[in-house]
Amino acid sequence: MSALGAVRAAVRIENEVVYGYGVVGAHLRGQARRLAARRLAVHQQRRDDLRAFATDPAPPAAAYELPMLVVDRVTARQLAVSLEDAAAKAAWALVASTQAGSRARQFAVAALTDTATAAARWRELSGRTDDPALPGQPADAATSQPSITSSTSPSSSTTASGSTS
Amino acid sequence: MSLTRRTLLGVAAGLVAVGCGPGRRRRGAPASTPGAGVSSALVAEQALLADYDRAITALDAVTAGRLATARQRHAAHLEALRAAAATTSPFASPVPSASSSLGSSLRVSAATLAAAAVSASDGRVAALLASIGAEHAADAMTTPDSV
Repeated sequence: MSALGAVRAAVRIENEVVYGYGVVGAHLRGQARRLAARRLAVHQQRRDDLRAFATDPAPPAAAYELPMLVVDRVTARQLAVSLEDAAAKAAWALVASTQAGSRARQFAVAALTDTATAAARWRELSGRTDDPALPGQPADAATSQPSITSSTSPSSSTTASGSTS
Repeated sequence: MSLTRRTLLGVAAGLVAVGCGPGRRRRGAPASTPGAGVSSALVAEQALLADYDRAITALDAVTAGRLATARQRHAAHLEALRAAAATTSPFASPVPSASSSLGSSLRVSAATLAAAAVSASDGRVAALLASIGAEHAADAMTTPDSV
């Protein structure tokens, strides 16, 4: 994937993550809700920063198909993990496609660290211990260049895994 | 043990010291060789595993169990780095200081790996180093300060 392609894909994912955190926050209270609010702000800023890297970034869709039904705080936390994992995959692709020493590479490395740490926090709050050894690693990373699936239409429905529907 | 650990952990910090950190590379300067970050990360990961083994034997069962789960992830890092090292050149690294606790070692390693990822010339190597560094940062967050 080209650097520009990775940036565009990351913008799409971050749009989706921002949408998803709106759903997450609505089902949480207290400390978890405050964490969701902070993560929403982080991803909004990251989305805006990424748009500055792209020449024609996709606008956000009106709504996105979420990867799971969110009905309570348990499923809200699961969605938060899923959102951060999706953002980590986008960051991996961005790291892999950017030039050494570039501002974009620095940005991508920082984003991967941030989102992996946030995913670990959500897993901890959920009592989960299935933290990935390699956050963001695509399934085919061992044999080919990392990549994530991108949609062809900015208004199409997408999932937190980056696939289109 | 102390000397070995100090030596191994120092390799990572040495990368930063020689100018691989973000913002230190001047325009037009060559990126690091593909093997540089991988070799250093490999050595540092081995040191971390030794730290985990030491901590696990000294802790209560509950805490040790959590660390054992984290240790499995670091063993996976080692495997991934060995696979990457098979396609890159070895690199002699400078040697620096040791950290006082497992959490501190993880934080130092996370920062060093992030710097190495920024300067890595091969994108796939960069992503691998960044991911391992990110996982170290996450582990540092959940590792008790006393360990």
